[in-house]
Amino acid sequence: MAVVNGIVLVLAVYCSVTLACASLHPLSEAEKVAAKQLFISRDDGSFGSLEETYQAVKSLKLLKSDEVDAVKICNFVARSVNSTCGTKDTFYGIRTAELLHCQDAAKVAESVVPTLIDGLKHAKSLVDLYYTVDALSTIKKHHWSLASHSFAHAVEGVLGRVKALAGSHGTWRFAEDETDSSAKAAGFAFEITAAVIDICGYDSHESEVKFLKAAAQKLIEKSERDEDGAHYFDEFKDDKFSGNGGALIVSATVLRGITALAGVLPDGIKVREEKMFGFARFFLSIGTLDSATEAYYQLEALSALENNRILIPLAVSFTSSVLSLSSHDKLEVIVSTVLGSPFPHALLTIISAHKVGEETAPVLTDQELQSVEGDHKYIFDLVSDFEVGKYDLKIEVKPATAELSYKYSAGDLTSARITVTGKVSVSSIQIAVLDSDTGSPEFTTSLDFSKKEKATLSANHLQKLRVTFDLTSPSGGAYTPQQVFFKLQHESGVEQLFVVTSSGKNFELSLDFLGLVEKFYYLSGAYALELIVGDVTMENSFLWALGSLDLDLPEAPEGATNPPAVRLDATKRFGPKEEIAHVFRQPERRPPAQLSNSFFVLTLLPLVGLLVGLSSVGANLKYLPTSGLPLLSALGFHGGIAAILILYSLFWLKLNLFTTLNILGFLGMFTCVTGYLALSHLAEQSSKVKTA
Amino acid sequence: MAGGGTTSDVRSLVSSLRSAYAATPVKLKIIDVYVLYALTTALVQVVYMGFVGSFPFNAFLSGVLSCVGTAVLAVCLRMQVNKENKEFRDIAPERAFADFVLCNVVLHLVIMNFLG
Repeated sequence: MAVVNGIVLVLAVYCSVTLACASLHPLSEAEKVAAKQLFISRDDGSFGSLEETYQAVKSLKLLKSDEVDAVKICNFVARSVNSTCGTKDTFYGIRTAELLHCQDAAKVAESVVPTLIDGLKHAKSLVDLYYTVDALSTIKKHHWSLASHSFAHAVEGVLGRVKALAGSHGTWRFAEDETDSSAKAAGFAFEITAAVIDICGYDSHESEVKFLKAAAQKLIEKSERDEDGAHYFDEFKDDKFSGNGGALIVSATVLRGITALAGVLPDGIKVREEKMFGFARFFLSIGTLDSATEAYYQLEALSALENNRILIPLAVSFTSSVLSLSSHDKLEVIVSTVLGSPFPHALLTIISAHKVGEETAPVLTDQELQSVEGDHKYIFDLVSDFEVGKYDLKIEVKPATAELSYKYSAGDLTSARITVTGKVSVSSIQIAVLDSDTGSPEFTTSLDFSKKEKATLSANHLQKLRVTFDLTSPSGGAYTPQQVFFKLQHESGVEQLFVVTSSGKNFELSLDFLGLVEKFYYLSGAYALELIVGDVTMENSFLWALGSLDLDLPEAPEGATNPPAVRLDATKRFGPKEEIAHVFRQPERRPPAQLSNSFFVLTLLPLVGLLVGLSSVGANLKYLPTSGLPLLSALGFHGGIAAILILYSLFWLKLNLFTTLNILGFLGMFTCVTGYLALSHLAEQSSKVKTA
Repeated sequence: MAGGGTTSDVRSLVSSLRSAYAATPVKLKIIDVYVLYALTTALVQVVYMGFVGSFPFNAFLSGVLSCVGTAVLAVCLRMQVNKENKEFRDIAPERAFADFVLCNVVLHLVIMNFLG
């Protein structure tokens, strides 16, 4: 069963992959969580510099996270933005204050307006212009400054300067002294244009705006396309004006510029549907992001895609690609924007549903899905039309009204492969042992599947074994699973596997043992019987132990092949070994301390006895020499013996054998010499006594 | 011998043994006392073993063998020192004592090693 489950899982994964290729898939929850983790706030509530803070606040807002401490960040902005900080910091500070609706935004804005207007004249590059003009446009939009009526005058001539930097194919130069033009700079140029139009209206700059619109359309056509249909701008070089390059940041900047420009032009900008979907595909398939900046640009681009006046691409996703008939699952489709906000005004139609692998007429055509209010899902009940199996669906997704169709699009037909699963019923299982010649049954038994009954059979090589059973699909039709096997396993482990073939509902396997003796290696004895039926679409795939067969085969002739060595079970060979339980030796029972101590005293008693005995037999130190070398040597001899005994006790208590032997060598020599002197002196004395 | 005379016989036997032993040289008596001391100590240890069992067996063996070994060596010393013993006449008592000391040193090195 585990194997069957595994196959289902692999197939489900495969299906989800094919779904992602077929249509847009919104940014998943896992990707959102991963992106959120890239933004780490500091103690003062900020995320580093003003730029990093703005990027984090914007991204977290798009991710609908409430981890932003607005009060702290507003304080941070008020502290950091003043007339002396650069245009870049001013721009990001004003933008952050706008996002968080900071209370003292107007005060901060008022303090930087003179610097900004002054900075317009000195701005050398497109990036500087962008920061200044965009900041002014934001201030004007929210009426944060009393001087906002003078902005229109201040930005006069800006578009002329922008136009002067235009390259030939819709690209732009960052500054006058630059020779290379890039798509990224063009993105900034479009945004400046949008901001200028915001400040002083469309009419006063008609000719420049027309030029820029044409350039934007030219640039869009220049985007590159990869084999998955993703569109992007491929520039990998960094520049000194705006920092990082790379396809993600460049494409995001261009898309942001074009959508901003389209937003302020009365007739918008026409971009082909394929392009918009291409961009969406590119930003949704970025994969793992390395930095907070990359996450910001991805989210910023996706937000531009779901909030623009050109065309908003819709993503279509399925809650599950595996539907169970037995639990009455319904096909559930979710239509959303690329960032995952639900789109409730769609009309979904199943154009066709084909069973995979069958060249027959579609199972159904032109069926509308029902919209579920509040749940933002579109559902379709499969039960009536679908048999178990795999189906290719083609679904058309359209905005509900013609008006919405101008704004939204879900692209071409959405195709998806779904797997419909159900419980297959097993009936009329019969195992029979037949006579090989006449074909008449000698033994027949019927088994009940629901009880998983077992049978005990016996046969010899002159007989046949026949196994029959029926498989019926949930709707009562014939059902052929991918795997139907009958397995015989000899007690020695040798396996024989047979494929069971079917005609309609009826499955039959007939084994003529006479023709199979060689295949069975002439192995007589008990065989375990197993029936294996499995399929991805079958919810009750099973391995059924049918019982045992006692087979009597003739003796193997000379030269017959030996049965193959039975392969060891891999889990037994490489699996975990049995756990070793450590058994520690029980400590020996020790006698009570008092008893031991009293016996210690008892062992000392004989020593007292020795001393008493010695005095009673009249032992004395008469022969101890009285002076000179003999006295010294006698004392040395006895001292040496005492030292050796002390050394022995030290050996017992702490020294090792080598140290002991080392010291013993010296002590032994000493004792030897002194002993020789002392004893020879004694011998001399006694010989003197004898001769006297 | 009549039954009534047994006690007096024993008594006379003991007294004759004592008088005979009194003639033994002091050196030999000292050795006898030493042997007696060693054997008594061994006996105490055996009794202790009888009470509490032989664990740890190596310690018990070393204790008893130390006593028995030194007693055997002392008996050998006694045989060599005894002037009556013609067999060892060539060996001076001092030489015998030196042997005794050397053997004890070696014996106890082994005993200490085995004691654990």
